[in-house]
Amino acid sequence: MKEEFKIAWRNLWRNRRRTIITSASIFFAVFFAVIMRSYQLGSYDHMINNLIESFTGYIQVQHVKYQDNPLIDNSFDYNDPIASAISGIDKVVSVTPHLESFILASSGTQTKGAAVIAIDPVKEKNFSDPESKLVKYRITDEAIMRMKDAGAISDDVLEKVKRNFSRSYSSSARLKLELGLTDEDNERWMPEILKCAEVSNGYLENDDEGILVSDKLASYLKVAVGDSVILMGQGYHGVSATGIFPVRGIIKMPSPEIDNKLIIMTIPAAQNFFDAEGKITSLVVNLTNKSNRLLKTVKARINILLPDKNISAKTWYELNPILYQQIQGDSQTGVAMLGVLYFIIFFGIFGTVLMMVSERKREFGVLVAIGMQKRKLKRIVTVEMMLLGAIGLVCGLLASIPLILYFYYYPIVLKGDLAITMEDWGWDAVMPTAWLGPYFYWQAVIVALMVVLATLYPLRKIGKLKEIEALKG
Amino acid sequence: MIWSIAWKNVWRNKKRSLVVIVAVTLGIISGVLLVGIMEGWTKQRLHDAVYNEVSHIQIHNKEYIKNEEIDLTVRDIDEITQGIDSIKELSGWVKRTKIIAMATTPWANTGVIIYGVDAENERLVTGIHKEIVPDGGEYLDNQSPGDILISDKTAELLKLKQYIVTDSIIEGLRKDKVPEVVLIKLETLKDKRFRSPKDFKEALKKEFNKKELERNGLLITDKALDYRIRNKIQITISDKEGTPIQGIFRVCGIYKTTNTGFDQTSVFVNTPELANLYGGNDILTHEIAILLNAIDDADIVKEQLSRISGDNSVRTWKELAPDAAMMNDFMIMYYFIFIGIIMLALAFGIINTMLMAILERTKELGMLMAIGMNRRRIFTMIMLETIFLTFVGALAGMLSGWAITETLGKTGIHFTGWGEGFEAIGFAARVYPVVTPDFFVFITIMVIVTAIISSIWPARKALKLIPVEALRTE
Amino acid sequence: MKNRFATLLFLLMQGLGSNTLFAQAINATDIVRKADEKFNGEKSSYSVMSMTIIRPGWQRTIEFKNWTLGRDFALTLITAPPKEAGQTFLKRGSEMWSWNPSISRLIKLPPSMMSQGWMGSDYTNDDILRESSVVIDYIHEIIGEESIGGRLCYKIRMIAREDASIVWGKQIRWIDKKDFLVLKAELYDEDGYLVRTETGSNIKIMDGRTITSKIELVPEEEPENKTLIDIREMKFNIPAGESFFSQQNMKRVR
Repeated sequence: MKEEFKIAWRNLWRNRRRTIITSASIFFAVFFAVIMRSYQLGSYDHMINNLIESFTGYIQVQHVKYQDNPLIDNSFDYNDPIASAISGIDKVVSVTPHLESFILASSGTQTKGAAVIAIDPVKEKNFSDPESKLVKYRITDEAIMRMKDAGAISDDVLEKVKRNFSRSYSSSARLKLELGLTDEDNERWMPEILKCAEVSNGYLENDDEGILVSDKLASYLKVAVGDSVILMGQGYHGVSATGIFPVRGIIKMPSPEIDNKLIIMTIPAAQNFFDAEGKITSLVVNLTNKSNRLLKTVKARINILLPDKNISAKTWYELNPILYQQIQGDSQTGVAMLGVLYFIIFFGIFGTVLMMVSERKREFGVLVAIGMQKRKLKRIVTVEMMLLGAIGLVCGLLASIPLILYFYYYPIVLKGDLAITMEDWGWDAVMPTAWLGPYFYWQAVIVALMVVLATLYPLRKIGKLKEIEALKG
Repeated sequence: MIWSIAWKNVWRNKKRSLVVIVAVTLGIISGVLLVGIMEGWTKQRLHDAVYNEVSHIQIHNKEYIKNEEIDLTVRDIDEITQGIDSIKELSGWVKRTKIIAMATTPWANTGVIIYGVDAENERLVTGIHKEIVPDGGEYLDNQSPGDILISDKTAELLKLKQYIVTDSIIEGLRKDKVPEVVLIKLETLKDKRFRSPKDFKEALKKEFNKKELERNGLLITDKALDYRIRNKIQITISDKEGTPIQGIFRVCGIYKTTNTGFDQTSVFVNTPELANLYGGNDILTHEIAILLNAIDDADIVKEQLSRISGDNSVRTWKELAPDAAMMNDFMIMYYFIFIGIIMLALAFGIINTMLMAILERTKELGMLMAIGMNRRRIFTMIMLETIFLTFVGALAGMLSGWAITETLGKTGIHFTGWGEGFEAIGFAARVYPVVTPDFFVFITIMVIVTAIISSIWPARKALKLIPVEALRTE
Repeated sequence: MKNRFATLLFLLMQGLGSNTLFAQAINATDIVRKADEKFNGEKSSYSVMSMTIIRPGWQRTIEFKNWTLGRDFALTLITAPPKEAGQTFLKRGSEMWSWNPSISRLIKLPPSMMSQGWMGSDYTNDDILRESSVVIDYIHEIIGEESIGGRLCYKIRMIAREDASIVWGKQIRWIDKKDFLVLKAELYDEDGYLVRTETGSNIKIMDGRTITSKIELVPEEEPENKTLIDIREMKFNIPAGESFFSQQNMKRVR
């Protein structure tokens, strides 16, 4: 074997050009496949992450009936020791309690149905972080007036600002996205625009009796920070729940649907309002990563800790079966696309192998004529292909790593209407790649298989070789 | 002359050429198919959004958009009507009453939006009359005033989508070759009425094992389905002072579109009946929906109408169904990336193969140069060979791709298992791939560009061969 | 002489005849109306009641005072438990209002709340607003006689009228022959399935009238759920005019 190896190695370096071309085709195969799959997986990851990081959580502990009937009667007792125990489980990043229900919100003559999410203001920072969604900038008449007075801002930039009249923003990034100014204009005018559009806001303290109201709801109810809103609904065991709450802050939710009807308050205030002492509707648990294995393990561990059969832990895909289906469906399309790529790649590899064989027909003929056993020749050629494959594979993988890492940390930022709609659905408008993972090796495995397949051709050719014809050249 | 030489050269080494051609063909076929599927999905979503949900343009009172109160009707209707009728791109339009309501049955209740429509005119503008489910009654009729049309989803929420196993159903299943074992177990469920799909499925799970369910479950559920057509639904709306008013309607039919979200809240009755309910001789119009001859006319017509619309808001389908619009844009981006990558891969494959070919033909090329063929001609010859190769493959690919897509476009591809997920966001579980001429033009251009670019390097390589050396190689 | 006798006989027969005619004239609709008028027929009434809501795992009792005037006006004041005491509900025709002193807020009942249980019970707001529909919304027929709790009752089948704005398909009522008390009512959907059963018991005399002082509502598909209404006190024809049933009074009544 060692001899075949030496000969094979020498063969490769004898004809450098051919070696480079053949291994190049393998190199590109691996490179493209890995990059494409990385992008695909990156965007699913991204989608799922956006959802579970700050919306549904990785795992939720709920009353077993809650998922089908999200009523306050299906709440359970908050138990601090158990919550701490869950935090202690390996790979658990955060445990956040929620109390959620539906109510009517009213102010003046306006009444509207809304969803109430009661949180722990401190713990929630690790989860949905409502503080980051507080409205910081608003394009109002006064703001535009101030911009005009400041004088320096050019007319067409002002026009663009006016087009976004009455919109509110929780971040300067979003404001920049919607204004869509050129980079130059951004640099010159943005600080000024931000200053004129700034509004003050507030957050909830621990045990606060006040509420945060989502932006569109606040404008429907015609309330601002400091005003009061009346909440009415059905509490625990059918008790009528009513109360007046001061507005502490206004938050902007990216999705217009949610922005229309969200109220946030502290858990103690909600428990008092709904007459649900000590109760919560869910414990949201976040983990370090969302691999299925980890989810199942942690879910099992949590279930052991829970006191009775009425409460159980559910993973995000059990809570969101429809989204899960959607992602699966999309992923299959992705795999199909990858398949197409493989087709093409395979023929690329095959083509070069074909060429190599026809080029070396004479050489093979000579070797066999002077006595080399066909079997040995076959082994030599096989080793050559393996080496070529290995070189191409390794180089391909190595070359793809920097690209993947770069676009993982600095993904392509999308702009325009597409970006705005994505943000509305709660996704960051970026296209990231996925972190290195199993898919990485899978691509390599598949390409290696293709090399093996392609090797069959020269082996067959050698088998059928008739020396005299080969010598003729 | 060069052309014919190049062409002949291509066919001289059949094996090599065939490999490249097959690669290009298969690549293009798969590309066409995949793009066809995505295009089919997008087109379907768009079509359904326009023909079942939002039409091309809708007009509402500006205030109605923020707060759907019963007195916020479309202003200056007569002027608007005149304006609409004068549009030359018009295909049809309708007026609708649109009120938020509660629908109640003895077993359940749910919030809905009740549309008061003219059944005849609606047929010209929307396609819902084509979406009545099998055994699901009929569409609305001006002659039957007290009728209400609801969706499959609404029926489910109101517990009007029921399941019952009767003797005749068991007979029917027997004819469908369902095994006796299964039918005997089914007897225990006989004549019990299940008021929701969930209840029925759970009952089935208790009786049957997994295998039996997998094989027969769908058929049994299908046959046992019983929509309670002609049952009463009580509708409660709010009049101008906020007082609840109630009326009874009878289910005339069940429809189902690909968008469960739309289905869930939309119920339809005849306009005069709804007017009777809120007690007026006035028919209130909250919504005007306009269908044009071509979707691209939407923006222009919006401009026209905006000028005469006054206090009303005129919106196109893009603003009314932004998700369908976004899908369109998303898809275009996807195409570019996908096709781009395929072309790149192809290019490398072609370059590789051609390079090898040149290495192989060193002697021949050297000879040609020695006998005086100038460099430019050789360059052109190699380039043409590459281009021809690519083209033959591309042509074969496009023709077969087109043929396959056309066939599948008629039969459709069914995605079982993810049906529910797709329909929740408005995508059909059955896709009809379609490829537009635009796309073919795009591919052709890409192929030409790829071919030309990939031919450059091998051709230059060929030139660098020095004739003497070339002759010397074996 | 013969003629006079004949006339007398004739008149007598008329008398007898009209008695039997009168007996036949108590048709099903009349029976139902008389039963309905027990609670709703008097000019006005005042009652003190308690309502217990029973669910698997918990139960809750609310106490309230109720004033009515004819069929169109009613005012209810919650007196217990403390968290909800002070809330009042006003019915005027087909409108219902609620007043909550803790937030000083008057709310008109929106359509979305019509199907919800009043104060979380099995008695919907819709039931409360449309109590008298039993007479006008149904076609009545006596289908038999049965004894309930030792009292002989008419068994009356009520089929919903085509144009009546109710979800029920039919009802069967057992109305006691002596005092026209509804001892049992079964409510069915259109397909003939029993949805709810109401029973009246604990017959007492209050302010000179015989009434069922205990009423029980049980939904068929959730037999562990119940709503029990207990009438502690009832007075009829109290002095209360339309002005009593006003939004201002909602805030003042004790």
